[in-house]
Amino acid sequence: MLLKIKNLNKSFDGIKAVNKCNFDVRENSITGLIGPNGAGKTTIFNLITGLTSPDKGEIIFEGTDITNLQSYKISNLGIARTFQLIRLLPNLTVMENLLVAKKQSGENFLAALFKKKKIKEELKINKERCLEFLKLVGLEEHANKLAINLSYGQRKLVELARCLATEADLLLLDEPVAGVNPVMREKIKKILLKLKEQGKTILIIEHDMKFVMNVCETVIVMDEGQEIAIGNPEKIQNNSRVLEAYLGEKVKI
Amino acid sequence: MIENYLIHLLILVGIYSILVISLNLAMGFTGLLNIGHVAFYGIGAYTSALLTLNLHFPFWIAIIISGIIASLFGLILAAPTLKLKGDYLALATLGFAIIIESIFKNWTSLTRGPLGIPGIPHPSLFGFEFSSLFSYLILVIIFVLITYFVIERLVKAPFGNILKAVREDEMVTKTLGKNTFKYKTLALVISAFFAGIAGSLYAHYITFIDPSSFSVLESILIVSMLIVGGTASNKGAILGALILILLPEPLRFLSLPSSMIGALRQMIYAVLLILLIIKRPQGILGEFRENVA
Repeated sequence: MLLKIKNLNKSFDGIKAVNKCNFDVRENSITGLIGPNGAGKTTIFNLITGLTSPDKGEIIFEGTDITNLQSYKISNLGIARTFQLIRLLPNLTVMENLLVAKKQSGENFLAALFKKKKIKEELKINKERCLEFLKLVGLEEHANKLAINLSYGQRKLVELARCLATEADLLLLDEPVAGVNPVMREKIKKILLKLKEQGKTILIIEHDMKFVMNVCETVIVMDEGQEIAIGNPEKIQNNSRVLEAYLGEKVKI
Repeated sequence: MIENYLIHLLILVGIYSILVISLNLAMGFTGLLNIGHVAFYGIGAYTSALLTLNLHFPFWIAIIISGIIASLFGLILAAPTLKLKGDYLALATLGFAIIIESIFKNWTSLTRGPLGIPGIPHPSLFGFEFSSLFSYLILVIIFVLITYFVIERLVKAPFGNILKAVREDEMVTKTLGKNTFKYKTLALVISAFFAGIAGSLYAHYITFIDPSSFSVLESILIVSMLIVGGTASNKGAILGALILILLPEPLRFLSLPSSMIGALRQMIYAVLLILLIIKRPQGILGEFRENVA
């Protein structure tokens, strides 16, 4: 298992956002994390990426305990994420947004001062690599635009590209197709399947059930901070607890 | 005489340019609202004055130590305050400047308090003394160029891209694998270093320093220069220093009582700032196109 969540607990002012949650994410899989609003899905993402620390429990990634590590260290181990409300760096260009995700020797201020040539060569390679990710999401023409000037859908794709630019093994995508038109949704679906082919592991929070059932091989359903069902899409769709808590009786998928 | 007066103004523009460019690294590029920058300037000035007068250090070594001591104070300020954001950080840095100013005023055995320190020597090199205005101007210009090129190179490198990323969204920058606290600390420390250098240049130019040159009002002037010239633009930083130093000067040639000139100068600054904030919030040469909440 690439990622293990063990007995995770997190409460905010007495409200149990995540309550004794357990699940695993298999390597090279696309796993869906679904459940009603307030079920604790985004909190789980924040806990995995170290933006908040749990009250109890363990998070194991590739056999390493990352439970109380700082965000940037977790990221450097190979976990990248997107945000439910898109978070680009608005006054930077699209290319600069992606370049932040890269590891470069010019990040060191002494190297920045004294190794101009090396930095230039590295930057060229990194820009080419970032351009590949922009091509993947079809935005290579917008590389030099400020992020703030892009449309909603474009920003969503840039955030995905930036997430990929980290070269992380595990991608946490928070509602990748929310508010996205059907054409774009198909495109994102194709990108995710392609990423899986390339060996990535993807964990998705999403409310679009058709998308989840189409793309994910495993679905984890959460309610009130706890997983209530784990299984393949067919099994989940017929699980009575899931129908009651989230899908509802009348929805046909 | 008129050219001496002009050279004097240009020397001041140069010293302020170093201050504004260095502030720009922390404030314009990294988004650290530091309104206590003057503290580093004062620390540099006092360090250099005391080292040359009491311990007879040569200017060239004293100016480097001034930068280092100022950056150490930057490190001291960073540790407790850089977890704060926006206006909270601004208040903390303001408090820092007030503390440093009161140390200058009250540690009389070291700083002579409000009496100030007179007789600070001019720099000299191989027997040549930088005592003429013109030679000092050349010296200051050299330091302005060094500051400009160092900061410019830093912000154009991946290092600078991360500083800007921190300014835009620190949390995102963390999740992209960058130790944002380290970058903010570095930005503040480097920024303080050059402010210390500027302080040393000031002390050895005027040859007299007292706490009034390093008051919080002075800090607000430096911040205003950056806002007028344009945040996140080093050319803008120099332009801001030039405008705010030169603009009020013609007032001297009006036959007004000196008590009025001071007040008029403040009013000109105020009007200029208000106009700019309404018409062009990113400053004359600023890079921001849209303000981030």
